[in-house]
Amino acid sequence: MVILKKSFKNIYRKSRQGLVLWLCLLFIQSPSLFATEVLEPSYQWGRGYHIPSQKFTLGGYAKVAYSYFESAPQELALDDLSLFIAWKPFSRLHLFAELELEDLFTLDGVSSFDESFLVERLYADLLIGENFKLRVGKFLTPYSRWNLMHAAPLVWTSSRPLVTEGFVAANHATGLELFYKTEVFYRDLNISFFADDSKDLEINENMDMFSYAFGGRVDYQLSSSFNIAGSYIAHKKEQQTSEAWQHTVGVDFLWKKDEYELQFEGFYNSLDQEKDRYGLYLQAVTPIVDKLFAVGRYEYMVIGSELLSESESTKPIHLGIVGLTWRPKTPLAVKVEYRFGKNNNSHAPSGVLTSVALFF
Amino acid sequence: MNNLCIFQRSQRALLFALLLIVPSAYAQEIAVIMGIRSNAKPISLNAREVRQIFLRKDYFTAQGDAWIPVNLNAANPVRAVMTETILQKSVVDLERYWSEMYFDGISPPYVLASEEAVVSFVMETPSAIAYVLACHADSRVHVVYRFQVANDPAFSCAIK
Repeated sequence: MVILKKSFKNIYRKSRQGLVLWLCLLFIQSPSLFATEVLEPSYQWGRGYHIPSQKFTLGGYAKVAYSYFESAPQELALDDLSLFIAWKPFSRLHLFAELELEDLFTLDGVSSFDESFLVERLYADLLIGENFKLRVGKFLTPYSRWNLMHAAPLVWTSSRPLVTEGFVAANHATGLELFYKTEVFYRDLNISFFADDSKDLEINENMDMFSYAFGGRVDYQLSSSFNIAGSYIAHKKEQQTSEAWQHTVGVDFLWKKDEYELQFEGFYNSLDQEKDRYGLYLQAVTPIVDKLFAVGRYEYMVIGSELLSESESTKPIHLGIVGLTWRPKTPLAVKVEYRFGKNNNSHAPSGVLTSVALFF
Repeated sequence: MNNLCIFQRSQRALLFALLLIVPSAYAQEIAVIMGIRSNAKPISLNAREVRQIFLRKDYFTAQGDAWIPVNLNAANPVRAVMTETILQKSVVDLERYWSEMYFDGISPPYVLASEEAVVSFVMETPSAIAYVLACHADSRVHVVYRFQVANDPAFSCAIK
């Protein structure tokens, strides 16, 4: 395992050279397929630069955020600059990478490339058949609807719900994920199972990551406008002191019709009785005038004492968010929100949060 | 007198029959098409299968080749009908859907400028699938699904 870990670290060190090599190989090795070679490469805002003959797409998203907190320093940052690289060298193989520069520019100055560079996702999808897909690499942990669709231009608020910020489960997993999709009563049923070995395979080590984990998610489309899901994860995290496995269960739903949305997620994480963490949020979106939406969210969270310093309270956190989101074009979202709450200063201070996010 | 009565009744019946027939005669059909392959059995699809292919939820043909769905450009009225009727999404919903797919590294179908370009592409590309007005689906292609839409002056068999 030690040898394996060293190997992956070497891979990380060489990732930039590797990426260049990968891109060179792409243009040398990938065969042009059928008449797709007559299609010209093109760039479309929000869909990236696409080369049909190579089945290759280069794109990404960016987010600039400014926050003014009532009891904490104000923040201005290029929060996210993410680059997507997608390539289908063969019809049953899909490679995907998301490379991110996080907080590259802030009010404190410019971070170094090494400090801000993250491999957010790096995986290969093997399409085994119409119903099965195997994913190998680093991917988003399939425990939360928000986590799976967290890109700033997709979500309705500048801030992320506290319960999805990694307290109950890590946001990334590295290992294997098996997807199964089918139809039940003419509606989509998606099931995924994953097994994680971040302790040995993770290339950006951090305190919030899993050591080991396994779990799954079931997502069913109850109607054309209503999806419901449940998830379970058993895991050990790097930061935990005890040797016991943690268990997280979650349920969520999304109702979406005529530009109205209602989304709920709730999680319960158990390590032992004194350190349980649990929380939920309910978010509603309603159109006001053309392309302008009102957003409201209530959050409730109990963070186990294990994660708090001595000065922090273990009292439940209540959070409220009211805001506006303007989507003049699909790839662009301009957001302003006011966050307030009770016992929230340590993790989600009250104040005004704004951001501009776009896919490119 | 009797003959006159029969004549008047038959006139009314004819008029009624014409009223029933005329709208359907002028209703348009949209055909979902594939190229003709000499070594493959012609297939037929249902609306849900077409939907899954154009939303890139179904990946492979019965022969195991990857589907290559092709769209007309966004301003084309045939595409608008396809989006609403088969994909069952508004334009805004569909754009948002493709943004979510983009985050997963999945691109929307290729776009071609005209129905003639679509027919040529489908003819030359195994596993390509597209849609055109039924009057443009000539002998070079195989119709795998067709559906009727309300008559609209924007649908013109004269423009290909």
